[in-house]
Amino acid sequence: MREDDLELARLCADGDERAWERFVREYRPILYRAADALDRTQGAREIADSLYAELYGIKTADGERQSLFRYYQGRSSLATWLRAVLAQRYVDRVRVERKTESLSDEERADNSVEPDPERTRYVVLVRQALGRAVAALAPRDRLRLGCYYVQELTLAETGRVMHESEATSSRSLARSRKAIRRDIERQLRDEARLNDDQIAECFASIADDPGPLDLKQVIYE
Amino acid sequence: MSDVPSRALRDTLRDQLERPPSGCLDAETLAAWCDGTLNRNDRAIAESHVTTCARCQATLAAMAKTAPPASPRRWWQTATVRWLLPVAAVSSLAIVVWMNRPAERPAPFEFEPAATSALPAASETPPARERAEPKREERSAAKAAPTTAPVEPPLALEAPAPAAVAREEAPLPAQASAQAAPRADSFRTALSETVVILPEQRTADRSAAFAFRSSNQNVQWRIVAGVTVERSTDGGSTWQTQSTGATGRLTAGAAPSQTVCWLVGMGGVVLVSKDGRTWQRVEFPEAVDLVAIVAQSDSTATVTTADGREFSTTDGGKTWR
Repeated sequence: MREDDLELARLCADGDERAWERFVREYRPILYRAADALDRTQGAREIADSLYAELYGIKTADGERQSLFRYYQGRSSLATWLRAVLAQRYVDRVRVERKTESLSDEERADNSVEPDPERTRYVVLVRQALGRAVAALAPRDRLRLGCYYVQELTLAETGRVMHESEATSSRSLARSRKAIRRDIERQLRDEARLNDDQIAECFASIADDPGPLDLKQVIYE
Repeated sequence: MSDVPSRALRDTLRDQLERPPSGCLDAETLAAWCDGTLNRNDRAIAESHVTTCARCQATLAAMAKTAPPASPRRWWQTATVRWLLPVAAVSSLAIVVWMNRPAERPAPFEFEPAATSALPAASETPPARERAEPKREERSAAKAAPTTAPVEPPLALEAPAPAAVAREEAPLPAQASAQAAPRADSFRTALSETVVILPEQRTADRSAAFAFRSSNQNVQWRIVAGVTVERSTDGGSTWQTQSTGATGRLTAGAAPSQTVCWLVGMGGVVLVSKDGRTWQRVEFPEAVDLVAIVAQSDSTATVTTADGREFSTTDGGKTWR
Protein backbone atom coordinates (compact mmCIF):
# COMPACT_ATOMS: atom_id res chain seq x y z
CA MET A 1 0.00 0.00 0.00
CA ARG A 2 1.39 3.37 -1.01
CA GLU A 3 0.66 5.32 2.15
CA ASP A 4 2.39 8.54 1.11
CA ASP A 5 0.71 8.65 -2.28
CA LEU A 6 -2.62 7.77 -0.74
CA GLU A 7 -2.30 10.58 1.77
CA LEU A 8 -1.45 13.08 -0.94
CA ALA A 9 -4.45 11.95 -2.99
CA ARG A 10 -6.72 12.19 0.03
CA LEU A 11 -5.55 15.70 0.86
CA CYS A 12 -6.02 16.81 -2.74
CA ALA A 13 -9.50 15.31 -2.81
CA ASP A 14 -10.30 17.13 0.42
CA GLY A 15 -9.26 20.44 -1.08
CA ASP A 16 -5.93 20.98 0.61
CA GLU A 17 -4.27 23.76 -1.38
CA ARG A 18 -0.71 22.92 -0.40
CA ALA A 19 -1.20 19.29 -1.31
CA TRP A 20 -2.62 20.32 -4.66
CA GLU A 21 0.33 22.61 -5.31
CA ARG A 22 2.69 19.76 -4.48
CA PHE A 23 0.79 17.38 -6.69
CA VAL A 24 0.90 19.75 -9.65
CA ARG A 25 4.57 20.44 -9.12
CA GLU A 26 5.64 16.81 -8.80
CA TYR A 27 3.24 14.96 -11.06
CA ARG A 28 2.58 17.34 -13.92
CA PRO A 29 5.92 16.58 -15.59
CA ILE A 30 5.23 12.85 -15.21
CA LEU A 31 1.83 13.22 -16.83
CA TYR A 32 3.20 15.33 -19.65
CA ARG A 33 6.03 12.91 -20.34
CA ALA A 34 3.50 10.10 -20.57
CA ALA A 35 1.27 12.18 -22.85
CA ASP A 36 4.18 12.99 -25.15
CA ALA A 37 5.13 9.33 -25.31
CA LEU A 38 1.59 8.49 -26.42
CA ASP A 39 1.12 11.24 -28.94
CA ARG A 40 3.57 13.90 -30.01
CA THR A 41 0.87 15.98 -31.66
CA GLN A 42 -0.49 17.49 -28.45
CA GLY A 43 -3.59 15.30 -28.56
CA ALA A 44 -2.66 13.41 -25.43
CA ARG A 45 -1.53 16.60 -23.72
CA GLU A 46 -5.01 17.97 -24.07
CA ILE A 47 -6.32 14.86 -22.37
CA ALA A 48 -3.72 15.30 -19.64
CA ASP A 49 -4.76 18.90 -19.14
CA SER A 50 -8.42 18.00 -19.01
CA LEU A 51 -7.65 15.44 -16.30
CA TYR A 52 -6.67 18.17 -13.87
CA ALA A 53 -10.17 19.53 -13.71
CA GLU A 54 -11.50 16.13 -12.68
CA LEU A 55 -8.63 15.53 -10.29
CA TYR A 56 -9.19 18.89 -8.67
CA GLY A 57 -12.84 18.11 -8.36
CA ILE A 58 -14.93 20.87 -9.81
CA LYS A 59 -17.75 18.47 -10.49
CA THR A 60 -20.54 18.67 -7.99
CA ALA A 61 -23.11 16.09 -7.06
CA ASP A 62 -25.64 16.96 -4.41
CA GLY A 63 -23.66 20.05 -3.64
CA GLU A 64 -20.43 18.20 -2.94
CA ARG A 65 -17.31 18.30 -5.00
CA GLN A 66 -16.15 14.98 -6.39
CA SER A 67 -12.55 14.43 -7.23
CA LEU A 68 -11.13 11.71 -9.45
CA PHE A 69 -8.64 11.09 -6.65
CA ARG A 70 -11.29 9.19 -4.72
CA TYR A 71 -10.84 6.28 -7.15
CA TYR A 72 -7.21 5.94 -6.15
CA GLN A 73 -6.79 3.30 -3.46
CA GLY A 74 -3.03 3.08 -3.19
CA ARG A 75 -2.52 -0.33 -4.74
CA SER A 76 -0.03 1.18 -7.14
CA SER A 77 2.08 4.30 -7.12
CA LEU A 78 0.19 7.51 -7.80
CA ALA A 79 2.33 8.11 -10.87
CA THR A 80 1.41 4.75 -12.37
CA TRP A 81 -2.25 5.29 -11.58
CA LEU A 82 -2.17 8.65 -13.33
CA ARG A 83 -0.59 7.00 -16.36
CA ALA A 84 -3.33 4.37 -16.30
CA VAL A 85 -6.08 6.99 -16.24
CA LEU A 86 -4.40 8.93 -19.02
CA ALA A 87 -3.89 5.78 -21.10
CA GLN A 88 -7.55 4.80 -20.69
CA ARG A 89 -8.76 8.20 -21.84
CA TYR A 90 -6.37 8.19 -24.75
CA VAL A 91 -7.33 4.69 -25.86
CA ASP A 92 -11.01 5.56 -25.66
CA ARG A 93 -10.48 8.56 -27.89
CA VAL A 94 -8.43 6.58 -30.42
CA ARG A 95 -10.99 3.78 -30.50
CA VAL A 96 -13.76 6.24 -31.29
CA GLU A 97 -11.68 7.72 -34.09
CA ARG A 98 -10.79 4.29 -35.50
CA LYS A 99 -14.41 3.20 -35.54
CA THR A 100 -15.13 6.04 -37.90
CA GLU A 101 -12.15 5.16 -40.08
CA SER A 102 -12.93 1.44 -40.20
CA LEU A 103 -16.39 2.15 -41.59
CA SER A 104 -14.90 3.77 -44.64
CA ASP A 105 -12.41 0.88 -44.96
CA GLU A 106 -15.24 -1.61 -45.00
CA GLU A 107 -17.00 0.36 -47.69
CA ARG A 108 -13.91 0.15 -49.85
CA ALA A 109 -13.47 -3.55 -49.13
CA ASP A 110 -16.96 -4.34 -50.37
CA ASN A 111 -15.93 -3.36 -53.87
CA SER A 112 -12.90 -5.65 -54.03
CA VAL A 113 -13.99 -9.05 -55.21
CA GLU A 114 -11.64 -11.68 -56.57
CA PRO A 115 -13.48 -14.95 -57.28
CA ASP A 116 -11.29 -18.07 -57.16
CA PRO A 117 -13.27 -20.91 -55.58
CA GLU A 118 -10.36 -23.22 -54.73
CA ARG A 119 -8.18 -20.52 -53.30
CA THR A 120 -11.09 -19.00 -51.43
CA ARG A 121 -11.80 -22.39 -49.89
CA TYR A 122 -8.20 -22.76 -48.75
CA VAL A 123 -8.16 -19.28 -47.28
CA VAL A 124 -11.35 -19.99 -45.37
CA LEU A 125 -9.96 -23.29 -44.10
CA VAL A 126 -6.75 -21.73 -42.85
CA ARG A 127 -8.53 -18.79 -41.27
CA GLN A 128 -10.90 -21.07 -39.43
CA ALA A 129 -8.05 -23.28 -38.27
CA LEU A 130 -6.02 -20.25 -37.27
CA GLY A 131 -8.89 -18.90 -35.23
CA ARG A 132 -9.29 -22.17 -33.38
CA ALA A 133 -5.55 -22.52 -32.83
CA VAL A 134 -5.28 -19.04 -31.34
CA ALA A 135 -8.35 -19.59 -29.17
CA ALA A 136 -6.79 -22.79 -27.83
CA LEU A 137 -3.69 -21.03 -26.55
CA ALA A 138 -3.25 -20.25 -22.89
CA PRO A 139 -4.48 -16.72 -22.03
CA ARG A 140 -0.97 -15.59 -21.20
CA ASP A 141 0.35 -16.74 -24.58
CA ARG A 142 -2.54 -15.04 -26.37
CA LEU A 143 -1.94 -11.85 -24.46
CA ARG A 144 1.73 -11.89 -25.38
CA LEU A 145 0.86 -12.40 -29.04
CA GLY A 146 -1.70 -9.60 -28.82
CA CYS A 147 0.81 -7.20 -27.30
CA TYR A 148 3.34 -7.92 -30.00
CA TYR A 149 1.23 -8.30 -33.13
CA VAL A 150 -1.92 -6.30 -32.44
CA GLN A 151 -0.66 -3.55 -30.16
CA GLU A 152 2.66 -3.52 -32.02
CA LEU A 153 4.77 -3.26 -28.91
CA THR A 154 8.46 -3.95 -29.06
CA LEU A 155 9.81 -7.08 -27.43
CA ALA A 156 11.02 -5.00 -24.50
CA GLU A 157 7.60 -3.39 -24.05
CA THR A 158 5.88 -6.74 -24.41
CA GLY A 159 8.13 -8.10 -21.71
CA ARG A 160 7.25 -5.14 -19.52
CA VAL A 161 3.54 -5.92 -19.78
CA MET A 162 4.11 -9.61 -19.16
CA HIS A 163 6.63 -8.99 -16.35
CA GLU A 164 9.27 -11.08 -18.05
CA SER A 165 12.52 -10.40 -19.82
CA GLU A 166 12.79 -9.42 -23.46
CA ALA A 167 14.50 -12.72 -24.23
CA THR A 168 11.74 -14.69 -22.56
CA SER A 169 9.13 -12.80 -24.56
CA SER A 170 10.98 -13.54 -27.77
CA ARG A 171 11.30 -17.24 -27.01
CA SER A 172 7.69 -17.52 -25.93
CA LEU A 173 6.42 -15.77 -29.05
CA ALA A 174 8.40 -18.12 -31.27
CA ARG A 175 7.10 -21.11 -29.32
CA SER A 176 3.50 -19.92 -29.66
CA ARG A 177 3.83 -19.42 -33.39
CA LYS A 178 5.21 -22.89 -33.84
CA ALA A 179 2.38 -24.29 -31.76
CA ILE A 180 -0.16 -22.44 -33.89
CA ARG A 181 1.43 -23.71 -37.08
CA ARG A 182 1.38 -27.30 -35.85
CA ASP A 183 -2.22 -26.97 -34.72
CA ILE A 184 -3.32 -25.57 -38.10
CA GLU A 185 -1.56 -28.36 -39.95
CA ARG A 186 -3.17 -30.94 -37.70
CA GLN A 187 -6.61 -29.47 -38.26
CA LEU A 188 -6.14 -29.32 -42.02
CA ARG A 189 -4.87 -32.88 -42.10
CA ASP A 190 -7.26 -34.52 -39.63
CA GLU A 191 -10.43 -32.52 -40.07
CA ALA A 192 -10.27 -31.13 -43.60
CA ARG A 193 -8.56 -34.30 -44.91
CA LEU A 194 -5.89 -32.41 -46.84
CA ASN A 195 -2.55 -33.88 -47.84
CA ASP A 196 0.84 -32.17 -47.41
CA ASP A 197 0.75 -30.54 -50.84
CA GLN A 198 -2.70 -29.13 -50.23
CA ILE A 199 -1.66 -27.88 -46.83
CA ALA A 200 1.29 -26.09 -48.38
CA GLU A 201 -1.07 -24.59 -50.94
CA CYS A 202 -3.35 -23.44 -48.15
CA PHE A 203 -0.55 -21.47 -46.55
CA ALA A 204 0.45 -20.05 -49.90
CA SER A 205 -3.15 -19.00 -50.51
CA ILE A 206 -3.47 -17.10 -47.29
CA ALA A 207 -0.15 -15.43 -47.92
CA ASP A 208 -1.28 -14.30 -51.39
CA ASP A 209 -4.87 -13.52 -50.51
CA PRO A 210 -5.44 -9.77 -50.65
CA GLY A 211 -8.80 -10.15 -48.94
CA PRO A 212 -10.35 -7.29 -47.09
CA LEU A 213 -7.23 -6.82 -44.99
CA ASP A 214 -4.51 -6.46 -47.62
CA LEU A 215 -2.54 -9.63 -47.05
CA LYS A 216 -0.23 -8.81 -49.94
CA GLN A 217 2.13 -7.45 -47.36
CA VAL A 218 2.44 -10.77 -45.63
CA ILE A 219 5.98 -12.00 -45.27
CA TYR A 220 6.90 -15.49 -44.24
CA GLU A 221 9.26 -15.48 -41.34
CA MET B 1 8.93 -24.98 -42.13
CA SER B 2 7.30 -21.73 -43.09
CA ASP B 3 5.57 -19.88 -40.33
CA VAL B 4 2.05 -18.57 -39.96
CA PRO B 5 1.82 -15.23 -41.77
CA SER B 6 2.11 -12.44 -39.24
CA ARG B 7 -0.65 -10.41 -40.83
CA ALA B 8 -3.09 -13.30 -40.73
CA LEU B 9 -2.15 -13.96 -37.12
CA ARG B 10 -2.66 -10.31 -36.24
CA ASP B 11 -6.04 -10.20 -37.95
CA THR B 12 -7.16 -13.32 -36.12
CA LEU B 13 -6.03 -11.97 -32.77
CA ARG B 14 -7.73 -8.67 -33.50
CA ASP B 15 -10.96 -10.34 -34.54
CA GLN B 16 -11.06 -12.23 -31.28
CA LEU B 17 -10.34 -9.07 -29.35
CA GLU B 18 -13.25 -7.20 -30.80
CA ARG B 19 -15.76 -9.36 -29.04
CA PRO B 20 -17.42 -7.19 -26.43
CA PRO B 21 -15.82 -7.63 -23.02
CA SER B 22 -17.87 -8.14 -19.90
CA GLY B 23 -16.33 -5.40 -17.80
CA CYS B 24 -13.10 -3.50 -18.12
CA LEU B 25 -10.35 -3.26 -15.53
CA ASP B 26 -10.29 0.00 -13.64
CA ALA B 27 -7.29 2.28 -13.65
CA GLU B 28 -6.32 1.13 -10.18
CA THR B 29 -6.03 -2.50 -11.29
CA LEU B 30 -4.24 -1.62 -14.50
CA ALA B 31 -1.76 0.45 -12.53
CA ALA B 32 -1.25 -2.33 -10.00
CA TRP B 33 -0.63 -4.70 -12.91
CA CYS B 34 2.09 -2.42 -14.22
CA ASP B 35 3.64 -1.95 -10.79
CA GLY B 36 3.56 -5.72 -10.26
CA THR B 37 1.53 -5.42 -7.07
CA LEU B 38 -1.39 -7.63 -8.06
CA ASN B 39 -1.50 -10.89 -6.20
CA ARG B 40 -1.49 -14.14 -8.15
CA ASN B 41 -5.23 -14.63 -8.11
CA ASP B 42 -6.08 -11.08 -9.15
CA ARG B 43 -3.40 -11.24 -11.77
CA ALA B 44 -4.90 -14.37 -13.29
CA ILE B 45 -8.36 -12.80 -13.40
CA ALA B 46 -7.02 -9.63 -14.96
CA GLU B 47 -4.91 -11.55 -17.47
CA SER B 48 -7.89 -13.59 -18.53
CA HIS B 49 -9.88 -10.42 -19.14
CA VAL B 50 -7.16 -8.49 -20.93
CA THR B 51 -6.56 -11.39 -23.30
CA THR B 52 -9.94 -10.80 -24.92
CA CYS B 53 -10.56 -7.12 -24.19
CA ALA B 54 -9.37 -4.77 -26.89
CA ARG B 55 -9.71 -1.70 -24.70
CA CYS B 56 -7.77 -2.98 -21.71
CA GLN B 57 -5.10 -4.55 -23.88
CA ALA B 58 -4.62 -1.29 -25.72
CA THR B 59 -4.51 0.57 -22.41
CA LEU B 60 -1.82 -1.74 -21.06
CA ALA B 61 0.09 -1.30 -24.30
CA ALA B 62 -0.19 2.47 -23.97
CA MET B 63 1.10 2.24 -20.43
CA ALA B 64 4.03 0.12 -21.56
CA LYS B 65 4.89 2.83 -24.05
CA THR B 66 4.69 5.55 -21.43
CA ALA B 67 6.64 3.74 -18.74
CA PRO B 68 9.70 5.64 -17.59
CA PRO B 69 12.87 4.07 -18.95
CA ALA B 70 14.41 1.49 -16.69
CA SER B 71 17.79 2.47 -15.31
CA PRO B 72 20.51 0.68 -17.27
CA ARG B 73 21.73 -2.43 -15.51
CA ARG B 74 25.41 -2.44 -14.61
CA TRP B 75 27.49 -5.55 -14.90
CA TRP B 76 27.50 -6.00 -11.15
CA GLN B 77 23.71 -5.89 -11.13
CA THR B 78 23.25 -8.91 -13.36
CA ALA B 79 21.56 -11.88 -11.79
CA THR B 80 24.63 -14.10 -11.85
CA VAL B 81 26.95 -11.52 -10.32
CA ARG B 82 24.37 -10.59 -7.71
CA TRP B 83 24.55 -14.14 -6.43
CA LEU B 84 28.24 -14.68 -6.97
CA LEU B 85 29.50 -11.57 -5.18
CA PRO B 86 28.11 -12.30 -1.71
CA VAL B 87 29.06 -15.96 -1.99
CA ALA B 88 32.60 -15.05 -2.99
CA ALA B 89 32.85 -12.46 -0.21
CA VAL B 90 31.66 -14.86 2.46
CA SER B 91 33.95 -17.59 1.19
CA SER B 92 36.96 -15.27 1.20
CA LEU B 93 36.14 -14.07 4.67
CA ALA B 94 35.83 -17.60 5.94
CA ILE B 95 39.21 -18.52 4.49
CA VAL B 96 40.91 -15.46 5.97
CA VAL B 97 39.41 -16.06 9.38
CA TRP B 98 40.41 -19.69 9.30
CA MET B 99 43.99 -18.89 8.24
CA ASN B 100 44.42 -16.19 10.91
CA ARG B 101 42.94 -18.28 13.65
CA PRO B 102 45.28 -18.16 16.68
CA ALA B 103 46.73 -21.41 17.84
CA GLU B 104 44.63 -22.81 20.59
CA ARG B 105 46.52 -22.86 23.86
CA PRO B 106 45.38 -22.64 27.42
CA ALA B 107 45.31 -19.06 28.65
CA PRO B 108 47.37 -18.32 31.73
CA PHE B 109 45.30 -17.87 34.82
CA GLU B 110 45.12 -14.24 35.81
CA PHE B 111 42.94 -12.57 38.33
CA GLU B 112 41.97 -9.21 36.89
CA PRO B 113 39.20 -7.06 38.32
CA ALA B 114 36.84 -6.08 35.51
CA ALA B 115 36.64 -2.46 36.66
CA THR B 116 40.33 -1.82 36.16
CA SER B 117 40.65 -3.49 32.82
CA ALA B 118 42.29 -1.20 30.25
CA LEU B 119 41.20 -3.25 27.29
CA PRO B 120 37.62 -3.71 26.26
CA ALA B 121 36.29 -7.18 26.56
CA ALA B 122 36.26 -8.88 23.20
CA SER B 123 32.68 -9.95 23.65
CA GLU B 124 31.48 -6.38 24.14
CA THR B 125 32.91 -4.86 20.99
CA PRO B 126 33.42 -7.33 18.22
CA PRO B 127 35.79 -6.39 15.40
CA ALA B 128 34.27 -4.26 12.74
CA ARG B 129 34.43 -7.06 10.14
CA GLU B 130 32.45 -9.34 12.43
CA ARG B 131 29.88 -6.65 13.04
CA ALA B 132 29.49 -6.00 9.37
CA GLU B 133 28.95 -9.62 8.44
CA PRO B 134 25.94 -11.20 10.08
CA LYS B 135 26.27 -14.86 10.85
CA ARG B 136 25.19 -17.28 8.13
CA GLU B 137 22.54 -18.68 10.47
CA GLU B 138 21.15 -15.21 11.06
CA ARG B 139 20.95 -14.55 7.34
CA SER B 140 19.31 -17.89 6.78
CA ALA B 141 16.83 -17.20 9.50
CA ALA B 142 16.11 -13.80 8.05
CA LYS B 143 15.56 -15.32 4.65
CA ALA B 144 13.37 -18.06 6.02
CA ALA B 145 11.27 -15.68 8.08
CA PRO B 146 7.87 -15.35 6.51
CA THR B 147 7.15 -11.96 5.09
CA THR B 148 3.78 -10.55 5.79
CA ALA B 149 2.13 -9.90 2.48
CA PRO B 150 0.06 -6.76 2.39
CA VAL B 151 -3.63 -7.41 2.39
CA GLU B 152 -4.98 -6.25 -0.92
CA PRO B 153 -8.51 -5.39 -1.73
CA PRO B 154 -10.16 -7.75 -4.18
CA LEU B 155 -9.77 -7.14 -7.87
CA ALA B 156 -12.05 -4.37 -8.98
CA LEU B 157 -13.60 -4.21 -12.35
CA GLU B 158 -14.28 -0.74 -13.50
CA ALA B 159 -17.26 0.94 -12.05
CA PRO B 160 -19.55 2.57 -14.53
CA ALA B 161 -17.68 5.53 -15.88
CA PRO B 162 -18.65 8.69 -14.09
CA ALA B 163 -20.89 10.88 -16.12
CA ALA B 164 -19.40 13.72 -18.01
CA VAL B 165 -18.11 16.38 -15.73
CA ALA B 166 -20.84 18.79 -14.95
CA ARG B 167 -18.56 21.66 -14.38
CA GLU B 168 -19.50 24.51 -12.23
CA GLU B 169 -19.91 27.57 -14.26
CA ALA B 170 -17.61 30.32 -13.23
CA PRO B 171 -19.00 33.60 -12.07
CA LEU B 172 -19.51 36.17 -14.74
CA PRO B 173 -16.79 38.77 -15.02
CA ALA B 174 -18.88 41.36 -13.27
CA GLN B 175 -19.45 39.05 -10.33
CA ALA B 176 -15.82 38.11 -10.14
CA SER B 177 -14.75 41.70 -10.17
CA ALA B 178 -17.18 42.51 -7.40
CA GLN B 179 -15.79 39.73 -5.23
CA ALA B 180 -12.27 40.93 -5.79
CA ALA B 181 -13.15 44.55 -5.17
CA PRO B 182 -10.83 45.47 -2.26
CA ARG B 183 -7.61 44.86 -4.14
CA ALA B 184 -8.92 44.82 -7.64
CA ASP B 185 -9.55 48.54 -7.58
CA SER B 186 -5.90 49.29 -7.88
CA PHE B 187 -5.50 46.87 -10.77
CA ARG B 188 -8.58 47.73 -12.72
CA THR B 189 -8.36 49.79 -15.84
CA ALA B 190 -10.84 50.68 -18.51
CA LEU B 191 -11.19 47.15 -19.89
CA SER B 192 -14.23 45.24 -18.80
CA GLU B 193 -12.83 41.90 -20.04
CA THR B 194 -10.25 41.70 -17.32
CA VAL B 195 -10.75 39.35 -14.41
CA VAL B 196 -8.55 39.62 -11.36
CA ILE B 197 -8.22 36.57 -9.16
CA LEU B 198 -6.50 37.32 -5.92
CA PRO B 199 -4.45 34.75 -4.04
CA GLU B 200 -6.76 34.90 -1.02
CA GLN B 201 -9.74 34.32 -3.21
CA ARG B 202 -8.10 31.34 -4.92
CA THR B 203 -7.38 29.77 -1.62
CA ALA B 204 -10.86 30.19 -0.30
CA ASP B 205 -12.74 29.41 -3.47
CA ARG B 206 -12.47 25.75 -4.33
CA SER B 207 -14.85 25.87 -7.25
CA ALA B 208 -11.70 27.18 -8.92
CA ALA B 209 -12.96 27.59 -12.44
CA PHE B 210 -12.97 31.22 -13.39
CA ALA B 211 -13.90 32.50 -16.79
CA PHE B 212 -13.36 35.70 -18.70
CA ARG B 213 -15.22 36.83 -21.75
CA SER B 214 -13.88 38.45 -24.83
CA SER B 215 -15.59 41.32 -26.62
CA ASN B 216 -17.68 38.62 -28.29
CA GLN B 217 -20.03 37.35 -25.60
CA ASN B 218 -19.97 33.84 -27.02
CA VAL B 219 -16.21 33.47 -26.81
CA GLN B 220 -14.88 32.82 -23.34
CA TRP B 221 -11.83 31.33 -21.73
CA ARG B 222 -11.56 29.82 -18.33
CA ILE B 223 -8.84 28.45 -16.09
CA VAL B 224 -9.79 25.32 -14.20
CA ALA B 225 -7.98 24.34 -11.03
CA GLY B 226 -5.22 26.75 -11.91
CA VAL B 227 -3.96 24.32 -14.49
CA THR B 228 -6.36 23.57 -17.31
CA VAL B 229 -7.23 26.21 -19.89
CA GLU B 230 -10.50 25.87 -21.75
CA ARG B 231 -12.24 27.91 -24.41
CA SER B 232 -15.88 28.17 -25.27
CA THR B 233 -17.31 29.62 -28.45
CA ASP B 234 -20.96 29.12 -27.54
CA GLY B 235 -21.30 31.31 -24.51
CA GLY B 236 -20.05 28.72 -22.04
CA SER B 237 -22.30 25.81 -22.97
CA THR B 238 -19.40 23.64 -24.08
CA TRP B 239 -15.68 23.92 -23.39
CA GLN B 240 -12.64 22.71 -25.29
CA THR B 241 -9.40 22.06 -23.44
CA GLN B 242 -6.35 23.85 -24.79
CA SER B 243 -2.79 22.80 -24.15
CA THR B 244 -0.67 25.74 -23.08
CA GLY B 245 2.53 23.92 -22.23
CA ALA B 246 2.82 25.89 -19.00
CA THR B 247 3.97 23.97 -15.97
CA GLY B 248 3.28 26.57 -13.28
CA ARG B 249 -0.07 27.44 -11.81
CA LEU B 250 -2.13 29.98 -13.73
CA THR B 251 -3.77 32.74 -11.75
CA ALA B 252 -5.48 35.24 -14.06
CA GLY B 253 -6.32 36.03 -17.65
CA ALA B 254 -7.68 38.66 -19.97
CA ALA B 255 -9.23 38.38 -23.42
CA PRO B 256 -9.21 41.67 -25.34
CA SER B 257 -10.72 40.03 -28.43
CA GLN B 258 -12.26 36.73 -29.43
CA THR B 259 -8.93 35.42 -30.72
CA VAL B 260 -6.50 37.06 -28.32
CA CYS B 261 -6.08 35.94 -24.75
CA TRP B 262 -3.40 36.55 -22.12
CA LEU B 263 -2.74 34.38 -19.10
CA VAL B 264 -0.44 34.90 -16.13
CA GLY B 265 0.64 32.59 -13.37
CA MET B 266 3.10 31.71 -10.66
CA GLY B 267 6.81 32.12 -11.24
CA GLY B 268 6.56 34.82 -13.89
CA VAL B 269 4.50 32.80 -16.33
CA VAL B 270 2.96 34.90 -19.09
CA LEU B 271 1.20 33.27 -22.03
CA VAL B 272 -0.54 34.72 -25.01
CA SER B 273 -2.74 33.24 -27.70
CA LYS B 274 -3.18 35.29 -30.85
CA ASP B 275 -5.31 32.84 -32.80
CA GLY B 276 -7.54 31.59 -30.02
CA ARG B 277 -6.10 28.09 -30.22
CA THR B 278 -2.36 27.92 -29.72
CA TRP B 279 -0.34 29.44 -26.91
CA GLN B 280 3.06 31.03 -26.75
CA ARG B 281 5.20 31.70 -23.72
CA VAL B 282 6.16 35.33 -23.28
CA GLU B 283 9.40 36.13 -21.52
CA PHE B 284 8.96 38.00 -18.26
CA PRO B 285 11.88 39.75 -16.53
CA GLU B 286 11.31 38.28 -13.04
CA ALA B 287 10.30 34.89 -11.74
CA VAL B 288 7.70 36.44 -9.45
CA ASP B 289 4.14 35.33 -8.92
CA LEU B 290 1.75 37.25 -11.13
CA VAL B 291 -1.80 37.76 -9.89
CA ALA B 292 -3.59 39.97 -12.40
CA ILE B 293 -3.51 41.15 -15.97
CA VAL B 294 -5.31 43.69 -18.11
CA ALA B 295 -4.84 43.62 -21.87
CA GLN B 296 -5.87 45.90 -24.68
CA SER B 297 -4.58 43.86 -27.62
CA ASP B 298 -2.14 41.09 -28.50
CA SER B 299 0.71 43.54 -27.99
CA THR B 300 -0.39 45.71 -25.08
CA ALA B 301 -0.91 44.38 -21.57
CA THR B 302 -0.20 45.20 -17.94
CA VAL B 303 0.46 42.54 -15.34
CA THR B 304 0.49 42.87 -11.57
CA THR B 305 2.82 40.94 -9.30
CA ALA B 306 1.85 39.41 -5.97
CA ASP B 307 3.70 42.24 -4.19
CA GLY B 308 1.69 44.90 -6.04
CA ARG B 309 4.09 46.04 -8.74
CA GLU B 310 2.91 46.56 -12.29
CA PHE B 311 4.75 45.76 -15.51
CA SER B 312 3.52 46.85 -18.92
CA THR B 313 4.36 45.87 -22.45
CA THR B 314 3.39 47.44 -25.73
CA ASP B 315 5.27 45.06 -28.02
CA GLY B 316 3.74 41.72 -27.21
CA GLY B 317 6.03 41.01 -24.29
CA LYS B 318 9.39 41.64 -25.91
CA THR B 319 10.04 44.41 -23.41
CA TRP B 320 8.48 45.20 -20.04
CA ARG B 321 8.63 48.38 -18.03
